[in-house]
Amino acid sequence: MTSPIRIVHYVNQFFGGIGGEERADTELLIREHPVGPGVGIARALGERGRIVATLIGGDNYFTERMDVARSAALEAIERYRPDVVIAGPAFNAGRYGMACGEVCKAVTETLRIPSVTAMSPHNPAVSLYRRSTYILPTGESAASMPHILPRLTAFAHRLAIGDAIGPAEREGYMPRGIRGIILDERSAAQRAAEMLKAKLTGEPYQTEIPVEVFQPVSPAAPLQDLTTATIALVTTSGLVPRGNPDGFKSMNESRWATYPVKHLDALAPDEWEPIHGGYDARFARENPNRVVPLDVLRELENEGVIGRLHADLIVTVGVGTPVEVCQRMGEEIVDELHRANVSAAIFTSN
Amino acid sequence: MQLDVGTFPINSIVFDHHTRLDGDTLRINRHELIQMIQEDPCIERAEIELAIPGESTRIIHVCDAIEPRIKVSGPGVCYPGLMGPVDTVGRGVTHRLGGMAVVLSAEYPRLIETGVGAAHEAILDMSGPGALGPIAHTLNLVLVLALASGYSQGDYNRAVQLAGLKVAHRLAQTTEGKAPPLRRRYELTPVDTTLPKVVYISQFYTQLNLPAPYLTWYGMYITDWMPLWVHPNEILDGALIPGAVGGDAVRPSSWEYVNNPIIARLYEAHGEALAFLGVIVHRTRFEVFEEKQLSANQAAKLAKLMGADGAIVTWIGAGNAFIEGMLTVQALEREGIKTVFMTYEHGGQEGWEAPLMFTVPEADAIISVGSLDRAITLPAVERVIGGDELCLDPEASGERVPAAGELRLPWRLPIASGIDHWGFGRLTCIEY
Amino acid sequence: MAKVMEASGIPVALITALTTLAKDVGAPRIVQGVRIPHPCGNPALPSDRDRAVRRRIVMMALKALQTSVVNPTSFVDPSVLI
Repeated sequence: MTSPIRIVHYVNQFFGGIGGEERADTELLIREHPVGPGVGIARALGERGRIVATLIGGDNYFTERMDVARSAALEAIERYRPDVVIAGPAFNAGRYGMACGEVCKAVTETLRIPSVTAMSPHNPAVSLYRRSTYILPTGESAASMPHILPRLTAFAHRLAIGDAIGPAEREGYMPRGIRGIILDERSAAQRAAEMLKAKLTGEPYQTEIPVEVFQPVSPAAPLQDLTTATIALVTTSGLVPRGNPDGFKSMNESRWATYPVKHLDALAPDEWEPIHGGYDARFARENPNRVVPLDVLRELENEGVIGRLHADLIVTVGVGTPVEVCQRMGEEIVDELHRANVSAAIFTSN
Repeated sequence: MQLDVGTFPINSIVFDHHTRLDGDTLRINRHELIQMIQEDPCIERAEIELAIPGESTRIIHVCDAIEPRIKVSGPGVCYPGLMGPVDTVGRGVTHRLGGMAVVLSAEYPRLIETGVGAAHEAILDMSGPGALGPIAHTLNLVLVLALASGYSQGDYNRAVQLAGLKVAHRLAQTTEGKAPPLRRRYELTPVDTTLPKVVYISQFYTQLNLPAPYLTWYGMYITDWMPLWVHPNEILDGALIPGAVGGDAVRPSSWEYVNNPIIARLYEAHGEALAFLGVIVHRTRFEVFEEKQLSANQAAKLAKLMGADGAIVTWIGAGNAFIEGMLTVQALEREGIKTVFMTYEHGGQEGWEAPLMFTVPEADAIISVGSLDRAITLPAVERVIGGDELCLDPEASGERVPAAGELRLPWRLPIASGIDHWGFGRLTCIEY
Repeated sequence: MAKVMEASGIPVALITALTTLAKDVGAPRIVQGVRIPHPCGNPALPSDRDRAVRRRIVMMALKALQTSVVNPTSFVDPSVLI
């Protein structure tokens, strides 16, 4: 029998009994007892624990003055030393959902206290916070309160006692976007045969990896005048100075580097080497310009076709790099290019 | 094509004066085998060690693992082309030693430094978190080979492979004249014509720039071939196996090729839930998109012409070989062939990131066998076979670390049999 | 990464042999490269003709940078293909 758990519960001005939309500016209030839905949580909890404090925050206070609100909430929560923090349920209320998500995220990341909230799957806060806390799905309105409170309480209790939480579908929380490795009962070959049988006979089956659809981007406006443009050369070919001074790995590399090329008319084979585990490197070794066309760009610069070739070559290794690492590297490279007033880029990929 | 495979389960291996099979104990004259291996001038010195599942033992510089198989009746030989003539195999009677493998350990000189040709370390732990694949659970007879200097990469690959095949053959010979305790018949018998017809498409990459482009078919290196129609029994008799270029996680061992679980499952279901038509052996990693597309289209065409209603597609490799996998799934579905695709995932070290690099909308039935990307720590071990040090990152730091110590791997690539390409095991991924 | 750069206002000409892949991923300006290991060259040719191929590909990339695009668009100079 574990000792009773301590819970801090966050609600908004409405569920906190302060008032409606007109009181959305309410700054953080603290009550040392259950309030609103907290009463239902306390009842479901019974002897197993108690709500030691309820934090009430106005929806506008939280979303418009988020830094202030977050600090205030963290400071209050830290004082009460809870084993778990519950926020909401927020149902489909967008600002309330954001506040719940932000409280949970702050508490889990900064104070390392587990947290759980609940809201409609359509609440815009879900996509922003699902990775930072646990979000249980509710109906659209407070009519589903009696249904969610026992589940929310039970989940919070498990978090508080350190129970391991399993995969999303089994445990009933919204998928957080983490792919975890587990052992199935059946071998993968057996599951493949069974999935094929189901597919062939028209029976339902569920793919184990849902297929992503890549989002398109709005293309940048085209260059107006090549002759005044500064063009940067960027490559994922892993072409680095001989000796690999930055120690790039041949695969699964998450860093990028710049190497000065201002003084070069072409890339010489004895000065550069390709570090990349995904293509046959000998052609690049013989003539690095075949993966990074510096020779031709310098020629075009000398002819006045382009204004300038950017002084540095930007390099990373493009094999086995997850999409989100590419995103982060892309953002960092963009900062560099903006800083250097680069107008456009030629990007080579293997 | 009727093939009876007789299995002699091996539950212990003992070094002795004579090489022979004694019930389920394999007795081996180490000296005889070492002499045989050392006849090859490429091999300066050979040692033979035994590694048992569950031990705190680590085998390093793994090049391949071979299951002893021998044909006792019927045309051809097991591992045809390499161990004998290229007569079509898959018929007659083949004997195998079950539950064991001949593991090759050799450190290749760094003749090819960077890019896809560079040798990568492959580590086989017999216990602990690194004991991921089937060859961590077999009784492993390890041939530790020191290579003589002055030969080419191709010479070394061939020498190491043949050493393994010859030892495997010598061991399998101990079953001659004996009745196998277990027998199984593999035959694509005519079945109820209303059953859905299924083809297995096995994709694998070969690297054209290497002297040993990784895989051979009847001993011939597979270069930029188009897809090939094959009887599954040919694979069971070892017609398709890798050269000993290095057994990291994206290069399954010969042992795994002859024990392919998809082929086993489809044979089991043959005549009951489906009609197993055959196998398409599909070489990948073409370097031009149109060639990838052509190869995918041709595989789908073959399947269609053979009357397939459904297909299971597996692939091995990393990087752009995956594109052929997806394109093949797409081409099959467009031909009306219902397809299941088996693959590992990426997802980064913690599982946040995208599981797949490239997808097609038609890939709606995917089996996941876990992740390549997750970091894994191999604990310190009591014994190492194959050397004292290893280099995990030859192209970056080139740093050599003690092989017996704890090894923090940023991903699973250096683990021999570390990715379950064909579904031997139960690892998978699920969303948290 | 090229998409991130485009989204920030920097036009990017992506030279790759795998143009269909680039299109599926949504890169806006895609320039046909020769082959995966040598997108900007043809090692089968003598070096001056290899360089001429490279120049044609780079000129095509520069053209892509000056072209207004809406959806992923391929820019191909057929003479560079093997």
